[in-house]
Amino acid sequence: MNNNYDAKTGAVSSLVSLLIAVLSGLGVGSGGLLVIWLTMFEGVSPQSARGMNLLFFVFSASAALVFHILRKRLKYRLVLFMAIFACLGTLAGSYLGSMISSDHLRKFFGGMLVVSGGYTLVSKMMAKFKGRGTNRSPVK
Amino acid sequence: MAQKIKNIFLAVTAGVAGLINSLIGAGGGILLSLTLPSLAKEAFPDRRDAYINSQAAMIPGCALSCVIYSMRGMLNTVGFSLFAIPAAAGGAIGSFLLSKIKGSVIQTIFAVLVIWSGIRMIWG
Repeated sequence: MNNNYDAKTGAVSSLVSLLIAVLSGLGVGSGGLLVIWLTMFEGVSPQSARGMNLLFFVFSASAALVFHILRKRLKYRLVLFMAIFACLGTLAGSYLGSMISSDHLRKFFGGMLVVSGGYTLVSKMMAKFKGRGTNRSPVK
Repeated sequence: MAQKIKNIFLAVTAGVAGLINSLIGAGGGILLSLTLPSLAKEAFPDRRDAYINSQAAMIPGCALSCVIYSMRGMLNTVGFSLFAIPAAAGGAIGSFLLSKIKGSVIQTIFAVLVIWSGIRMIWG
């Protein structure tokens, strides 16, 4: 990776990462956009980009978390419950990393995301369409 | 669905989310955000809150992943320094915008991002 940025490249990278972090702050995640940016435009290896993407998420989500806490939007017990199991999954993943082909897993998971994202989008559009027909407000 | 079964589903989903994040480096938060609104419908009448809580739950797992990546020499912290401030600032801006943007708009952004993320994982 090129760690010596000129002012213009540094500014563009900062702006792109700022926009990606806004998505993270909105609670929708970044969808791995930073990985694409890093591998395509910054010459970072995919493995290193994955690590940076995780660190990037920790920074952006933690900053957003402060505001969510102040606005009392968190269900602490539920978050703690999910966080414990996510950490256990992370440990299992780090152990299984050498045994499982992450390439196959990525493709399988990618397919699942396309189906579930498509379902969410289509069902939302259908609800909106129905709402218009019966003069009801669309789904929240 | 009985609460106990929902809790088991939630635990399994969170575990799988952590596993995927650790193996792929992305996607765990999306998985949790997709399932939490239906598993805890009563707790989150506003979907935006489900997304927020999902993301919050993924922070410790991601931090743990970072430590593991770093121990294996797979984390470029020097290169990351450029992104640290925009990441924190963007996160703060996003959380501020959250209350200004309609839940349905956020849901659409989320769905598009999920599809995009899936396509990238298949062909990326």
